[in-house]
Amino acid sequence: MIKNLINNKDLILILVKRDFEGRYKNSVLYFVWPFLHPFLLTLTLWFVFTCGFKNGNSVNGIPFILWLITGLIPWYFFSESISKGVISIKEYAYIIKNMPFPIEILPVIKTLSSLITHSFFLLVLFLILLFYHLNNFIFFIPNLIYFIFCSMILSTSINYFTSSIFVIFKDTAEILKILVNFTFWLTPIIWNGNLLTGKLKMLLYLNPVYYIINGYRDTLLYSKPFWNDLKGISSFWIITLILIYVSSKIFNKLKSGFADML
Amino acid sequence: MCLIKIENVSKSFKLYHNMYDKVKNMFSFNKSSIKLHNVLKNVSLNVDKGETVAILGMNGCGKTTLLRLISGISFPDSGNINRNGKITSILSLGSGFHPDFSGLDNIKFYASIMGLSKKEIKSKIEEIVSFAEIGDFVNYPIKTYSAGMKMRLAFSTAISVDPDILVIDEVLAVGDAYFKKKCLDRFKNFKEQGKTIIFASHSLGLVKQFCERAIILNEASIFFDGEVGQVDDYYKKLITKRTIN
Repeated sequence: MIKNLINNKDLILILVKRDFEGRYKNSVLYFVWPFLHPFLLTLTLWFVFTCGFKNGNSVNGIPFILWLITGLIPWYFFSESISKGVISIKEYAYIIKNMPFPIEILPVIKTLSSLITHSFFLLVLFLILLFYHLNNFIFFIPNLIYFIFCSMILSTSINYFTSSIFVIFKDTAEILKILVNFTFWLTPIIWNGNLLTGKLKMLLYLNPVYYIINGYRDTLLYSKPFWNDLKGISSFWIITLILIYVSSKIFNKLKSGFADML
Repeated sequence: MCLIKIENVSKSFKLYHNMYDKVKNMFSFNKSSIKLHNVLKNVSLNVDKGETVAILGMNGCGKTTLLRLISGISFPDSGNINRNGKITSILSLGSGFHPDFSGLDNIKFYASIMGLSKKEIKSKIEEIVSFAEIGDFVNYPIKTYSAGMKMRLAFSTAISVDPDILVIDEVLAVGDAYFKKKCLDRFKNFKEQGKTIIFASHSLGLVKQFCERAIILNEASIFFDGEVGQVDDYYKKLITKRTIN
C-alpha cells in the first residue's frame, strides 16, 4: 500500500491541487472561504468563554485566547480531513468506473489538501505567539511536526474506513457528522482536560484526538518534548495501529468491488 | 504472442430492491434468497498481438462488462484474466473532466490518471490540442465547450497515451463525419504499428471496415468468434432467434 502511494506521488499531487482548488473554484472569494469559517468560530468561542461564562482566565500562565487557538487549530485540521474524507472514494466514481485507477491513493487526498489550510493557520498562530513573546516554540518545530504526522496518520486511517463503508452505506456520512460533533465537545479542546480527575482522566488516554490537541498545546505553549509523555505515546499508537489494521482490512476487502458498487 | 488470455471468466451482479434488502442479505445465512444477474458465464478467449477485434451483441449482452474486465476496472467472480502490455481504455468520453477547470488542466489530470509522467504530458500537450482542433478554447473552463469540443478533447487525450492494447467502447458514435474519419485514420495508424485494438460496436459497417475478427456475445456467453466476413450471417441468425423467442 505504501509502495503504491510513493509510486503515484505525481498523481497524488495533482489530485490534491485539484481538490483544494476545485472546492471553491466557482466562488469569487475562493481563497477566503476555507479560512473564514474557522476564524469566525474561534472568535465566537472566545467571546462566549470570556464574556459569557466569565471564564477567560489564563491557563497555567498562558493567555486564554492563545490557549484556545492552539487547541482549535489542530481540531480544525483533524475534523476537516475526516468530514471531507468520507466522500473521497465516491467523489471519484466517474474515474473508478471508467479507468483502471489506484483507488488506495484517494483517502489520502483530503488529509493532504486540509494540510494546506492547516499550514496557513499554523503560520498565523506562529505570528501570534511571536507577538506574545513566546518565542520558544521555534526550537520545538520538529516536535510539532511529529504531532502533525500523528494527526495525518489518524485521520487518513479513519478515511480509509469511512470512505469504503460510505460506498455501500450512505448513512455513514450522517453518523460521522454526529460523531465529529460529539468528539468536539467531549474532547478537552475548548475546556481544560486537567480539570478531570480519577477514572475520567484515565479515559482521556483512550481518546487519540486528545493526544494530538494536548500535544500541540504542550509543544507550542509549554515547550514539552513529546517523548516525555510515554503513556500518551503508547496508548495513541496502540489505538491508531489497531485502527490502521481494521481500516486496511476493510478497504482491501471491498476494493475490488468499488467499480461495480459505485 | 498472446496479449490477453481470458479463461472461464464469470461475472454476475447481485440485484437488490433497496438498501434494506442489502442489509438483510448481509446478515442472513440464506444467501440463495438474492437474485443474481449473470452477465458473463464461463467466457474464454485469447487475443493475440496485432489483432483488431470487434465485440458485437444486443443491448445488455455484456459487452461493456467484458471490456471493463479486460481493462482491469472491474474483477471477475471466477476465472482468470492475464494481460501482457499496457492497456488504455476509452469506455466513456469526457467523464473525467471537471467543468470548472480549463481544458489544459483537465488534459494534465486525465493523462496523469492514465499513467503518463509530468514530462510525457508536457511533450504531448501540443499534439493533443492540435488533434482536438479546439484552438484557444483550451485555456477556458470545460463548461464553455460545446458537446463536440468536449468529446474531441477527451478523445485526443485518451489516444495520446501510447498503449499496446487499446480498448474502446461505443464512443465513436458521437462526433461529426470529419472527426470520425480522423479518429478512424488514427486507429488504422495504430493497427499498422502492430498494436492490438478491441472495440465494442453496434455498427456492422464500421466493424467490417477495419477489423479482422469479430466476437458476438449473447446470453452471457460467446455466440460467435471468428472471421469478420461471416459476421453478417451470424448477426441475422441471432436476430431471428431473438424474434422467435
